[in-house]
Amino acid sequence: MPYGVNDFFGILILSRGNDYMMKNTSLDFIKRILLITAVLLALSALVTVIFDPFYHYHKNLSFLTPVLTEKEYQVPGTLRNFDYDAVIVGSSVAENNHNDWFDEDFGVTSIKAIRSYGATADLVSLLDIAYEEHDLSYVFYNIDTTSLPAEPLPTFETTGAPVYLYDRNPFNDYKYLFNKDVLLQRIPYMLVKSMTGDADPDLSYNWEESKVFAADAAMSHYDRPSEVSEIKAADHYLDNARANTALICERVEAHPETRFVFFFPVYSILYWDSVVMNGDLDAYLSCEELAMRELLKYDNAEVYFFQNVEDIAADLDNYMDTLHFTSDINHYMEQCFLTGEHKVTEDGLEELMTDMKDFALRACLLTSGLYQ
Amino acid sequence: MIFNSFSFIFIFLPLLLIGWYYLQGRSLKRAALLFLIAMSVIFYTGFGMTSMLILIAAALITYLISYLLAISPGSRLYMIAGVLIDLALLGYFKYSGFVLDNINMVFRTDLLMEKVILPVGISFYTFSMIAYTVDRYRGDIEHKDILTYLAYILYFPKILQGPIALPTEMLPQFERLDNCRWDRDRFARGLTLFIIGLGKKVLLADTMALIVDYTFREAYYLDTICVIIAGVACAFNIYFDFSGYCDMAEGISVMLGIELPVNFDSPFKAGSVRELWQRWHVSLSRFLTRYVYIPLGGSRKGTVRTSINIMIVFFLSGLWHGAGYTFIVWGLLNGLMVVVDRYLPRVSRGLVLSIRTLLTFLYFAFTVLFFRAENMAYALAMVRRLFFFTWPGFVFRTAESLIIPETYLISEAVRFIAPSFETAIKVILMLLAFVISAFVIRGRNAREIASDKVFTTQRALALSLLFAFSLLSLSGVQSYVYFNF
Repeated sequence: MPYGVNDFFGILILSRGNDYMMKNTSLDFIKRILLITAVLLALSALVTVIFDPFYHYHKNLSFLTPVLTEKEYQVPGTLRNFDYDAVIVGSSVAENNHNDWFDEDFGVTSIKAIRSYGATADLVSLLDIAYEEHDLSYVFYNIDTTSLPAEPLPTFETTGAPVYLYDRNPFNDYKYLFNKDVLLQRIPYMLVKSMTGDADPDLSYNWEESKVFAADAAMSHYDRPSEVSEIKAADHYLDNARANTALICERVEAHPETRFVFFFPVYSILYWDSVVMNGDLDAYLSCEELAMRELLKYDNAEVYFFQNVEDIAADLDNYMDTLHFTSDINHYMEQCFLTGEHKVTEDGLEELMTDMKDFALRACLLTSGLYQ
Repeated sequence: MIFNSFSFIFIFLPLLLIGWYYLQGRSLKRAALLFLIAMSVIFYTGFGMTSMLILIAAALITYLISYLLAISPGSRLYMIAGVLIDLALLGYFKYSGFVLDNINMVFRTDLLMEKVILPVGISFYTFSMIAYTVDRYRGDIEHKDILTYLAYILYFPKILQGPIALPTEMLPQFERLDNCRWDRDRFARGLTLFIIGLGKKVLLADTMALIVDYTFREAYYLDTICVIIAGVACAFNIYFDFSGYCDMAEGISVMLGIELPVNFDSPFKAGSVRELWQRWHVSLSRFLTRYVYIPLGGSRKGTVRTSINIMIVFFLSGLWHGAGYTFIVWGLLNGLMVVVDRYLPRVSRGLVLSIRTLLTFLYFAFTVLFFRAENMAYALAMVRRLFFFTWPGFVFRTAESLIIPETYLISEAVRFIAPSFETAIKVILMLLAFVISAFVIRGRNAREIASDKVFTTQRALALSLLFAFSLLSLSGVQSYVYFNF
């Protein structure tokens, strides 16, 4: 005999010791276990769908502020379901951007598409998700130096990202819907943060708070090699760089209505020292030159290059390690997109790369002085 | 695919049960056996095709030996060849790295070999094959048809972590397949066992694993109390991990109508280490007794030889659990206490029994410091801390390692209302986890609960809550401690 809603409430009554409605046969026992378990799982799914802390099914409920602190889990959902017309794309160095800088200066509603380590194939697939349902007027794309020589393949699965939130397959959503962490931790966290006014969507995925930015901290994260490794040929990584650049160019070409602002962020002199010491300088710079040359072919793309801004890179108080800088630097770069400072032109590219190589070698000398 | 996964619980198990009962209901016993073998192959292939091919090859070689023994009954040569092939298989995949490390250490060489994959469950199925070969040689069993034989070797509930069922227990069941039709009482018992086992694994074992992972990683920095916590947490972790698996395996088997031998019988209720080993991993102890201890002479050749035989068995048991000196020392420490126990008076009740039960548990908790430590240096560092009291306050950090969603709201509320009590509440929550674990261990075991034929709504509700909560805990759970043995 099938069980219905009345039977479920009957079970609850019986659980108080009122054993008059139902039989206690083994078959009833099995049915009750399966029915109550199914109801409890359905409740879990319902609560998760309603509050949806990863915004997988819908944007934030009208009475709740978005709480964006888990990029690996929330980026795909917010890209699908939030309202925006500009995307800030990049790795952890792009996380400290304040959305409202871009919103006010460029007259857009921006959202972040962040992926740890910023693998190109990952970032362009996030862009693809954004384009599924949105028309974008701007894409601000942070290109990390190491993203170009890397394999041009997505890393979501190999790095253990929650792919059930990235794909459109409803059959793997059970990992989200039946999830104790979501139910007992993520939803309460979202409710508390949202209701206490402790969540600022403009600071989505921002990690700056409680980090120490100081020369000592930055230097403590760098174990300087004692000698220079064999110097790699300039074309060592070019095949990968070509493939990665092609992935980006495909999107630029497919969306002429979007203005693409590419930028190479400013790392510390410690980073460039490591590049020189590992013998990667020529190989990395040729990747960057190739990428810039290709991107500059498009009318709807512009490129900004900050890596040789010595005032910032040599002041290690701007950094918490070799790469990660304060949000002031993010803001400086954003302002440059408005003023055109550090914008790369086709004509100036060759000189820029020569200047960059000189700077990197100088960074090596400066770092050497610091570690003596 | 593992038992505590959505794909197993929601897809594999229902398909298996539907197919099984359908074929049983139509008395298609050979088809049912073939179906069971096919499902076992699918289950095991989930761990990799290479592992599957190694298993099938090993199974067929053992079957060939059995065939040769049918042609030449009592041939010692074939029996020894069969056992050696199984041991060589186990030795190559599990111990070659360990042996090479020792050769390099002794002869100061720098020999290298490619990393060898460890087929999941190899320690279990090779022992099943050895048992089959030896029993064939002894004439305890007849040469069986290939389906019955493969069902015995491949039967998925036991292949990953045992029990190491003897051919004499399993082959008759697969031959007859009696009592395998749908039976509501039996199904209710199996379901109860499965749910309790699942709860033990995902709610208790995996919670304890958080403390264990932290303390053993920080072995060099722990204070004395933390080492005690590490040992107790590790004992609980291994207990719930293995006990949970055994309950689930037995539960599935009961649903299918196949009886597996008892493998875990509330070992922490034992009043001596000797008794503990009669209750913990029963099928392994039985295997080693039957195929090693008794052939060595057992207890028939005097006190000294008996003690040596026990130590040999526990040395092998340690080595079986892992290719490393930590496991060997763990085995020998247990063997030593089993030898000592033989000379202690037996106690069956009262306060003395309670004290001895507690001491037995604490001794086991001490030995698992070796079992779980990354290497001997880590283990000895912990033992040193145990005997030379230090107190740098690592208890609080250990308590903070216990980050579970169940306590999230409590922790946050305390942090908000009384931040100075934040650490204290975490220590209390850790102690609470220990108390709950002890309570579960001292209570009736899953088999006793499942067998009492109580089908009340209250119990159904309790099991449903446990089942649902366990299912909600499946994402992010750890793999089994006994997996790589």
